[in-house]
Amino acid sequence: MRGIKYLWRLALCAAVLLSCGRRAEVPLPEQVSAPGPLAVVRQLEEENKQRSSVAMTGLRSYPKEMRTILERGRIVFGMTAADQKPFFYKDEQTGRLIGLDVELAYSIANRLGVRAVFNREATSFDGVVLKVVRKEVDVALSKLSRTTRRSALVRFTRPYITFRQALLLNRLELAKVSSEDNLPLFIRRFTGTMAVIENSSYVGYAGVNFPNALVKTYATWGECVDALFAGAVLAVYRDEGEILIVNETRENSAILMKPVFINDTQDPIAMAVSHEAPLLEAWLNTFLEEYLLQNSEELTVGRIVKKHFGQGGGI
Amino acid sequence: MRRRAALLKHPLVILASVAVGSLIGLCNAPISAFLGMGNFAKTIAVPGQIYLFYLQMTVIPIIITAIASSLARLMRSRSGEGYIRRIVVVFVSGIVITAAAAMLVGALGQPGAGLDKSTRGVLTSLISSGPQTGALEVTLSGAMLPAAAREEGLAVFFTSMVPANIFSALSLGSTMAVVFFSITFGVAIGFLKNESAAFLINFLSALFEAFQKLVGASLYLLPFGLVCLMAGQIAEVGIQVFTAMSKFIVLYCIGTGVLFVLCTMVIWQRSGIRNPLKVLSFVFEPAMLALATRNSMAVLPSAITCLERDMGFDKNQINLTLPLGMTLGRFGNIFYFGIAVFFVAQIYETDLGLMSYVVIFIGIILAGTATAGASGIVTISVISIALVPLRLPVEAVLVILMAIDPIIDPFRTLLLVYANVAATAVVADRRQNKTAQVTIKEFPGGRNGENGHGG
Repeated sequence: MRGIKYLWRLALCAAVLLSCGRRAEVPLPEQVSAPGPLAVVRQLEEENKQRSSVAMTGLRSYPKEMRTILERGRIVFGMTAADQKPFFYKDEQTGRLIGLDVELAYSIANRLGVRAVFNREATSFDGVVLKVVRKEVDVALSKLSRTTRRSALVRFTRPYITFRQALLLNRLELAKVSSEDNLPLFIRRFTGTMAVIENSSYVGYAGVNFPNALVKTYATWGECVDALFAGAVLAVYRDEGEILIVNETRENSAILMKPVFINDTQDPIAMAVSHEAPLLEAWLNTFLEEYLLQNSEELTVGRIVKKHFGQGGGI
Repeated sequence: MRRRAALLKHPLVILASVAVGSLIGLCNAPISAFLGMGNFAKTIAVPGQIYLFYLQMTVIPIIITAIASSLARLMRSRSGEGYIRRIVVVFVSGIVITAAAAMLVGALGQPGAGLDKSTRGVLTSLISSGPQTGALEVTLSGAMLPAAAREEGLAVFFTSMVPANIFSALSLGSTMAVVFFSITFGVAIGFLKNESAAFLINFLSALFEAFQKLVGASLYLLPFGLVCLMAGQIAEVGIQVFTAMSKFIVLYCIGTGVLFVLCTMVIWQRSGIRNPLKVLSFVFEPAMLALATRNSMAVLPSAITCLERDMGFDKNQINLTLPLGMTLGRFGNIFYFGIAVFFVAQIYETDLGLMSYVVIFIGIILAGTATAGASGIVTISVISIALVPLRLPVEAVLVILMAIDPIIDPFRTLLLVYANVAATAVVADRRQNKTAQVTIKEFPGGRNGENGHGG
């Protein structure tokens, strides 16, 4: 009898303790939301104005290539005229240039203590490379793919992001030439039309990776994608980031299109400088080492798409 | 006591139990919260599952004993050949009518045309999240993994028809193979010309009747089984996809409803029962069982009983026709594939010419028939038989069709069972007199044997 009484009390105590424990639960603090792409660029730009206003002295010991930039007090970045969201694009409301490459450009300028200037005269990716060759810009920072062909003209830094190459196929056109089960094999022997941007690295990639494909070039990525949705081409060929973006932003894309990522290909995105500026290249590499370490989480395909397109980059 | 038990099989009781089960499934969340259980519908679905297993337990032996014994008997009687010709004519025309009806509904109803933005949004997110329908990862170099061999298609259909080993076919439940064996077995017995044939036929008939009793007894538990099965079934339906695909679902259900009425009229005409409501009350049990179990084979014993005992059709003919029909007369699936093919063509905005209509007609009949003996989600992927010749993509649509299948499947099964009951009613004759036993007198060879023994 007594034993039962004790048991009762014990149970009561346990119950009280348990309920206290529950109540003691503190609600989790709301996650601090990361600043948007516009806010990030704004802050960097502000910083850039302050830093570059300080005049530099004692530049004599610097080699010529660095001294020119520092004495000039500004560094010129080359970008294509067409926006390359999320790398560089105009903010819809403010019209300000923002994006991944813009953030990187301001960070570089801030570290050097000079003003960042953007030259957007080039109409194609190869055009930006030529601007570097002619020394009209200091650094090509334009979502530029590092390829062997371009490496013969300019010096490339280490890549700051590496994509896989990818295809987006029109399901309806695909069903006419191959069964869906057979897709991996079909990709290897790809026969059919494939759209790429003219004067882009993918013209070369297509020739190497898909020799049997009939390659059609279009002036812009938008035209490539329009041709795909109209059924004029079987596939578009670009990096996984762009493919993912089309799939997420275009209406009905998942029903009509099939994304394919090619695991054993890559599209390294790097900066390029003149062949006469090895020190600038070395400096940028040193800078990138640090920058990539600090931003390693930010610079993944899924994150980038999420940050700049405000949707789940489920990859 | 017997009367009270019979009350359990009353149509109203059955209807009430379906309603209660559906209600529990719909209000699963609040009920679970109230009772403090994780998922109430899922919990009570367990006894429902056990009930379903019990119903399925004897399906394979029922198929063998019914087909073999009745076929052997028919071969003995003079009307056998004519009857088998009648089966072929009625079922083939039934299939043709079903396919034509499906194409009519698909072409006029336009299930996949003019879907609004939000609908397409739901479908898009459904496809993107699918493991196979999302992005594909490939390599351009290195060893090529052999493409996963698909266990579908027409070639597989024909090779799986003849069992390499009847016992493995039995244990695997390959209905097609079992039916093929039963037919050949029945024919073989029909050719035996002695006493042993009579013995074998009577033995098989007795087995069949015992198995029917086994299942028949469990049908008193039907109301409880229905509550459990319906609750679990309704609870698993996703509302969002349901609303997005409402046009397709409504069209399918209306089409099934029209065919249901048509079949009822056929059964009514053939059964000779004056009151059509009485016909409905007879077929109520198999119909509800089809809705709740979504398994045509589990309904077979109940459907046989309905035609034989309640409506008084010839036992032999029913026993042969119905199992055969349930396996090969895939009316529900053909109708479903017909509408689904139009849905796909309309979603991809493909213009269908006259030639395409012929391809669709043949394709859906082949695809529907290729689902023989299968039930549930496996049957859906067979639609590729109809889509591939049309050069339409399969993969993306398959995910959508699978998502809505919990709603479609009951009606598909209902149509399959019900159309077979109707077709069987057309083929079979009303019973004149009871001839359950095969007497040895029917066998001239047997009599000789008897004489031999006597001598």
